[in-house]
Amino acid sequence: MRFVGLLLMLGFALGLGRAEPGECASLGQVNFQGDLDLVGLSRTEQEDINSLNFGENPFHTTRIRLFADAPVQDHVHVFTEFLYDDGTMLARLFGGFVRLSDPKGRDIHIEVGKIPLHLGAYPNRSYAPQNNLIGAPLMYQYHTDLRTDQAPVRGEDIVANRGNGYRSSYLAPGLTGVGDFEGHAIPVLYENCWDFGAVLIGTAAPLEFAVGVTNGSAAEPVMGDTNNGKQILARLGFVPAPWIRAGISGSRAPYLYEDLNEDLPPGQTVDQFMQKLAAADLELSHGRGVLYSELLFSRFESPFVGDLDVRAWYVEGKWTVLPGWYIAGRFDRMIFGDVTLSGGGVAAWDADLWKREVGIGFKPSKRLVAKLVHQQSQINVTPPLVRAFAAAQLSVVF
Amino acid sequence: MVAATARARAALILLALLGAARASAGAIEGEVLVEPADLAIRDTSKPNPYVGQLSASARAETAATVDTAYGVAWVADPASDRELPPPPARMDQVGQRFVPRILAVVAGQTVEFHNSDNVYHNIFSYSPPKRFDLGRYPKGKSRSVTFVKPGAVQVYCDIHSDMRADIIVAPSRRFALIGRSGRFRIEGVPAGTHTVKVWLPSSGERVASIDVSERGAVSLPPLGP
Repeated sequence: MRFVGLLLMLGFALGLGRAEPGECASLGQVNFQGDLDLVGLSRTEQEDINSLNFGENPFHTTRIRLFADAPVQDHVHVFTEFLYDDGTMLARLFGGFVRLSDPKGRDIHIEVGKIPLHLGAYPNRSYAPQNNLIGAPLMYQYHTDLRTDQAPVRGEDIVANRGNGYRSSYLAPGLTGVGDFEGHAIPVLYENCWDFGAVLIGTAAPLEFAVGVTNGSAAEPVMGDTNNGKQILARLGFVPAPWIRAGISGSRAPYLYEDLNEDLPPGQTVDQFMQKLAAADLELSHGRGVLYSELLFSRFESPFVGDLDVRAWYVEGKWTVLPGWYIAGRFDRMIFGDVTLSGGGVAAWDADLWKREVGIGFKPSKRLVAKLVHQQSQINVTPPLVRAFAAAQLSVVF
Repeated sequence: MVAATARARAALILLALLGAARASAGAIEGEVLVEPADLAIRDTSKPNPYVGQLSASARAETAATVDTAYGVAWVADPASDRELPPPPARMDQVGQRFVPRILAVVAGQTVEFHNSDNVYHNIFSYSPPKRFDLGRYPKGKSRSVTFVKPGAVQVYCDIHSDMRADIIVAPSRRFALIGRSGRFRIEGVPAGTHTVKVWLPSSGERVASIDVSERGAVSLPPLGP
């Protein structure tokens, strides 16, 4: 199903790219753009905390995004985006959707297909040329020890995986989890893979709004659905003055794979177990400075061990010091709730962590951004897992 | 009575001098090919990259109708006479666009960057003739920059990545805007040999040398790539 969806979208994209010349002339050109990101690291094996699905990582040496968009008729526009990451040697369809805009010219649109994430505020500046730093906030990428294809039966099953991230498994020797190896561990809110669905998005000053339905969940966007439930998501933004932008987001979706149904108690299905997410975002700007902050709470309902809660927040600032030069910094935190252990007592279901990234950026032109950052992080396992490295990035828009 | 006569005489002498100066000045005419890429600077077919975000306001489709320059031609010789710079020029920000998209000013002239949008803009430039960053400011506010060094200055908005303007800082008032036809005429050029620069978005600066007679117009030879 997933493969068929991918082929359909790819065919759709290629078909538009090969539109008849006359058609292009009458309906508008196909716009192409690219983004090449080159990264060098001071130390290897330190950047794992930034890992994304498929083994991708913004600190890999070469990443390329290719964009193509075209109007297909009045008020209808198609967008496609491909991503290559040299750490995986994989090029994949990142996004592909059709946008229908209000014929009356109001800022109201419907997007259908593999659509951008409309939860939170960071997705609008997640690409390297817009990102003040190189890494993404933890809440948008850090992989917890919670899986979609396995369920912990005892609290100990998930607690034993604290800090394991992508490598987490409840089927390891000595553990009692159920499920298989079809999926993987998940982050809380994931930006690096878009979900398949539809969203109504727009503005009615001073409000911004987005409400949609997708196949996946905030933690795991998908092409083809992995269960019978859909995600409902919404964001409401408030911009009372140009210097302030605030928003609240929420989503609700079953997140477990339907193959787990056979391991659940009679009468239960994976569609009963939700990821519920609530988030708030704030952006303040004054003169040459901008401050961003987001706060998130997510609850994963788990069939055997109850609710698994997590909170996350970050604060990020950017200050332009000279024309073309800026300094930026972000501090991130994730705090995990407790799960009840079978032997009595409670323990955090994953290890709390923090990440700090500071850097300077130089934009000699709008098409060229150079950054030098230092990132330090700590995962509070025993002993604490501390990582630190410096990185330089050159991002070129072509 | 004596004072009034003296003032009238002085005025007559000044008028005579101005007339003589005008009589000894020629003009430079030229025509350049305005490429499709030059016309595309006002292309409105690109989709709005900020849908659903109030950090951007709706685009004003009327902006292009009052903004007709596609390039600038100017005499690049250093100004021989000490001209007072003209009053401040104005560049507006309307519907996520700079209006005018191309502006020509005289060295020493000030440009007021006005924000007419309901959102913040943050204008900056990295161009060697003038580097500046005006920070974020709201609707109704203006911030000014004085351009002292001649040359081409690219202006951007830090918030809206597709906003761009070009300001040509000429050494003197001897410049002309190039319209869609590609034709231009620079008036008031003293007799002698002059360096003329022509700037278009697609080709950047091109240079030619030309002899100008005391009267009449001379045509600029075809410019190289």
